Amino acid sequence: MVPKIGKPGSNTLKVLQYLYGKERHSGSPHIDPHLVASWDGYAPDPGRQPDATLKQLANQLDLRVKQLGAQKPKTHVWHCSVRAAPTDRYLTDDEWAMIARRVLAAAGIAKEGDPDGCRWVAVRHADDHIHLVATKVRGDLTGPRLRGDARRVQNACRKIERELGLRRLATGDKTATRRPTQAEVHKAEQRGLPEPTREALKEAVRLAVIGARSDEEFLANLEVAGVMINPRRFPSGDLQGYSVALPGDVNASGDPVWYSGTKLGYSLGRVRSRLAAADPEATQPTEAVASPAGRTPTGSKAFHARRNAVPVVEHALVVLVEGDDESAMGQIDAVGEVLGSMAQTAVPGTSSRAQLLALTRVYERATRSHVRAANRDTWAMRSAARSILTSGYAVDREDGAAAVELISVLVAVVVVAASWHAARGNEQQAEAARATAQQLRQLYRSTARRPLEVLSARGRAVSSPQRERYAQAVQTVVPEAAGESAVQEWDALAATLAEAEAAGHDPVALLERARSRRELETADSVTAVMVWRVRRLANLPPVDGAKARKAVRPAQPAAAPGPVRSDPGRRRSR
Amino acid sequence: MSKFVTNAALNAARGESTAYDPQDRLNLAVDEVVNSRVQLARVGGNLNQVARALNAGGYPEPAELVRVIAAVARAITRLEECAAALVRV
Repeated sequence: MVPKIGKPGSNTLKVLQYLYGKERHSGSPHIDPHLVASWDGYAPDPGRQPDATLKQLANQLDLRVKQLGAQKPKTHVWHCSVRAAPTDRYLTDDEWAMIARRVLAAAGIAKEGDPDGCRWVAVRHADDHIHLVATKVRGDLTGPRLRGDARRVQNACRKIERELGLRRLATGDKTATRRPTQAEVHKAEQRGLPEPTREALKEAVRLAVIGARSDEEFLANLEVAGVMINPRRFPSGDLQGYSVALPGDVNASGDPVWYSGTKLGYSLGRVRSRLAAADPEATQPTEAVASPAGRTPTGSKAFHARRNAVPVVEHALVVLVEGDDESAMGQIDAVGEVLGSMAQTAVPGTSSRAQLLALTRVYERATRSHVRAANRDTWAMRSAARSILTSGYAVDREDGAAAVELISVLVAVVVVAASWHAARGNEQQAEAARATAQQLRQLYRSTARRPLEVLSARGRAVSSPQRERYAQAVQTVVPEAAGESAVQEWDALAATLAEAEAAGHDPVALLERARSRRELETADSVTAVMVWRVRRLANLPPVDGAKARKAVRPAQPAAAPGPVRSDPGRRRSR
Repeated sequence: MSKFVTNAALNAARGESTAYDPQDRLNLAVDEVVNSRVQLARVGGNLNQVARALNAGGYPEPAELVRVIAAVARAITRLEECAAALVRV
């Protein structure tokens, strides 16, 4: 049940004409417009009473306004629509009447039993919503107290949802970024754009922060994304703030429509607190066991960037469970950047890129809450995001194994983030994180399919005494895995252990090390998780690495650190 | 009514005349008419409940009752016209 308070109006009759007339904008036509309730139940209803007119109804609503004469408020019409979710059952007129009374009481228009309450009507012209129209002059000729009506009305709707068994929406906490206005949505539709400018710019800004090490790098990233920038500078030349616009998005006089960073949810202050450490390469942790055979691991830069990010992201689990709220929020925030960096380095045009971009966008809501993110401990994760970004496109087949492990760890982190938010009552954030985890699981399945196929084919070629030996090792070290009936994964694990042994590792020791990591339950079976962990710990080459594919390096200006940026502006302006 | 009391009290406190200002008189009249509407609407509501209770019990509404309910609605319309006329004065 979504209540939406419209802009205050100054013409009661006009609103009623719209509500009772044929629809003008795109949308559902108005069917059988009639009143479901009014302030005292005796308002004339032009929809049901043949001799009642809109003019009469408007005059009755306006009685107290007219009484004020020249002292009437400039805008005296209060308007609010209340819409049920598409999945909700049909609500009767009586139910809508009850909802109208509750919403108006919460708003402060007409309290229950107040003889001087404002005059109002509830108009129904469709199955799934009603419109509340009220005039903002009370019977004692004072104004109603409406400050904060939107929040109170929202809360009332949450209660009504519970009582009527309707779809329950997540309660907001005023930390979400601003949604596009109706006008912006219509403009995008008219211009044939896939999304409103505000959304495109939000994404461009969010992605431009990733991996940037200074204000100027951030601006450069934005420029590469094809966004027009209007930096505001102090006389010293330091950045004071910025605003952005999409090429081709102009107002009536032909000037670009600028959106300030703050309005997009990325004020300069927020951007600055999220800049990456200056020298990521030096701080890159590695925890792979040195290969006794002294073999240099193969694999592209992209492959290693992903593999090295795994322990960093894994560390977020520890912080989320044991750390204070501020540090946890910092980790949750930085995870968004890892997701964003993966999205940007996925090959354009592939489904995995689209999936990653979509889930990064969903996850954004989880990165905002009233807890101020502590950014002191997130440099490792931001640097990991930066190295993923600078390592070039990920070619699915080559980097599959590393990406798969990273994704499976991300699933674990995002799931924990969802319960972290839920435990603190951040309903919208928890829902966003849950949805992200869901999409990540899907991505995991599609990404893991091929590497698993290749590995299990290799595993079937391993001699049976050897397989027997591995089976015993797994049985003793990871009993959870032995209990599973994951044939393909088991073959892949055998192949991986054989490969590790050939490289001079001890399979049992490797399994023990892999077992000691936290969170075995992530996206897949324990066996599969063991496959990816052993591969990383033994520093095994990419699954398809023998074919020595060259990393595809995208063309980019030398100054820009990011390889690819979603390029909404340029694409759309043509 | 409360508005009138407020004005009268304020005027008395300021030492001004508490005599009716013409606009106050009009407002008072409008309030009176609207109050009658409130009372009448309550009566109408009660009569509607009676009709509904009879219906639920399987009895047809007496023709008398239907007429009274319609008369209440008409009276309310008249009162409202009266209030509107006062405002226009």
